[in-house]
Amino acid sequence: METLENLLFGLSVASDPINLLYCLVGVVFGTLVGALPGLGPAAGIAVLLPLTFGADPIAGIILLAGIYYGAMYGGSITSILINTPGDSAAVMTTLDGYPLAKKGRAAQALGMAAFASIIGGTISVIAFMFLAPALATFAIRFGPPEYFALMVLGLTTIAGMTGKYPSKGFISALVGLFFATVGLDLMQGIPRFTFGSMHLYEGIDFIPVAMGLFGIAEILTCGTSECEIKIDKKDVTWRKLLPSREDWKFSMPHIFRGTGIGFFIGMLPGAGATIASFISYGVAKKTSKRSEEFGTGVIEGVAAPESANNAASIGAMVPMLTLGVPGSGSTAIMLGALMMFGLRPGPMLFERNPDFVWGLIGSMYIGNIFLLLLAILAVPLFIKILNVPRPVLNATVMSFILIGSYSLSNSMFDVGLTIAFGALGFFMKKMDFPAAPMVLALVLGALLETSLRQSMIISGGNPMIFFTRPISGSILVISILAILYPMIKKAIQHFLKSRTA
Amino acid sequence: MRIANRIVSVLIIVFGIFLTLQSKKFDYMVDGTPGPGFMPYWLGIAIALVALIPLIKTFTQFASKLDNPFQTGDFKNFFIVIGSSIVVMIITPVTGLLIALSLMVGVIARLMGTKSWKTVIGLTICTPILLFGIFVMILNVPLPKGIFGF
Repeated sequence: METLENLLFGLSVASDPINLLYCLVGVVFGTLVGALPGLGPAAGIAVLLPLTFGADPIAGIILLAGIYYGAMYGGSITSILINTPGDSAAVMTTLDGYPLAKKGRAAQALGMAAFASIIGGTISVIAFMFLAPALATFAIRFGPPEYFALMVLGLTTIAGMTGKYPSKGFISALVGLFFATVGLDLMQGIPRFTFGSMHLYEGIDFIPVAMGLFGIAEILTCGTSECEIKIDKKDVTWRKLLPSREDWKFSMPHIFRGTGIGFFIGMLPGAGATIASFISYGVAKKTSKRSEEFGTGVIEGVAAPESANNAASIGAMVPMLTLGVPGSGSTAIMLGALMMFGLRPGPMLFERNPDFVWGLIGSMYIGNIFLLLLAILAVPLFIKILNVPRPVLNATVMSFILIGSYSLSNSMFDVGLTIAFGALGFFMKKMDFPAAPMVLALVLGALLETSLRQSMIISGGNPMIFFTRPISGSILVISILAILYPMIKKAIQHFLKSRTA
Repeated sequence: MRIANRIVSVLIIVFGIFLTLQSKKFDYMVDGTPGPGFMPYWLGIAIALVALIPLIKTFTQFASKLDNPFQTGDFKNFFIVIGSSIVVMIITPVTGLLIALSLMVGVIARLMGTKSWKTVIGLTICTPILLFGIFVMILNVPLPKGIFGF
């Protein structure tokens, strides 16, 4: 009852015209930066931070939160339409979103991405409201062994992304793990594989790799007329944006599962929306009735990662607000903004500044409604992009990719890196080396290595630490089962077949 | 496909061995726990070992069934896009990023098959204006300027 009273209070705070305006600006801008390749929510939040300097802290945080979850949806637009993830959390959406667009179902894919995002976001706000303190307490118990186990769990999803040739998928992942080792070693401070380049000291950023392997490789391999996507104007109707009853039937369980996974992983510091979307997609693929069709354009392949990344963006705010621990790069910037506003994030924030916390929660409900309206109004416009002739689209997208990669850290080195990964992506695609395992391994690699080494230091070199701690042990057992499950399933099917025969 | 796979597999094995040798420059263990050389060492070995699988397959019947992945004309787009992107990197200090990108857009559009010069010129002019509006005006990204001051 108290929670509902607090929620009503929060909604009244969020309904203030200035707060509504900030929420709308945040969601619109977030969708834009999410859709632009190279510009993720962290960059968007950082860029708009100066706008909040003179504003009320509640309006400021509402704007920043709006950018964050708006970007999660925005990333799906370019993933589906041009196979270029707007940000890292939308990489998994490309795997089925783009094939759906090729099949002439771009509108339904975009519609499902919007609905999954909004359902994931809304359920997560409810969960945030009721479960925040308890779940935050659980997440804070995660130490290096638990993180290592979680990274291993994330890597098990590679098994489902290896395509036709598993060995090539695993090579791709191993090379991705190598890329993650490039840069300064965080524990000894020595440069590894930087070959004297100062630019590589901070490691290889995920975005140039993803933009090169996905965006540029797509332009290079699909520049000809057979890749031209033409959508009949009749397909771009409001009704088509609504997924069919069958689409809902296939997607609903994955939306709920993705929301749960996303919200939980979002709460874990450092894990974030990208890992949430990877794991959610992997789980969806494993549990779907038509798992073998994943990657060819199934609607639940869009619904699962999209619900997860939006849920993760809300989940990431739990440790930020209740513990003062950021769950992602974007929430780290938001945490800095909170301190700039003179607020001290932590458990006391709920008691000392209820208007702030509940105003933010209320704004998330309103923001999700804005997001839905924006998705419905803007989607036909985005779909028109598809009817642009391929050479024109390629040239324009290429300019966005290059300028987007520059804007990451205002460095031409990142532009060069993006081009290099684009060339690598071309050969990988031609030779049937899947790109997704490389990208996933790059994301997980740094945390995997750091947590492995930290755990071994804690245990004095005893690897049993990963199994003797209940949470890490459980996660590792789940990982092992996830690897063995397809083999066991195959063996059982084979056994049953031989018995019936 | 068989020859291409064989060449690529050998290159990957060489890369794996190189990685393992390079990792020797770093401490493998530090005070009984994995050091900075631990992960790259095992990654190098794993890469080389896994790459043996596609290499071995090229000597089996399986490989002969696969088509050649590289068809005539496949490299045309590669050279247009990657070539013009490299030119962007080279001329940016002189022209600035916006002009370099506008030239790249025109070149890519034209060489990839846009027949109408009106479209090519329109793209060359409009794209940098759009990029300027979004990245400079709205996002305040300080783009590299050339000798013309923009």
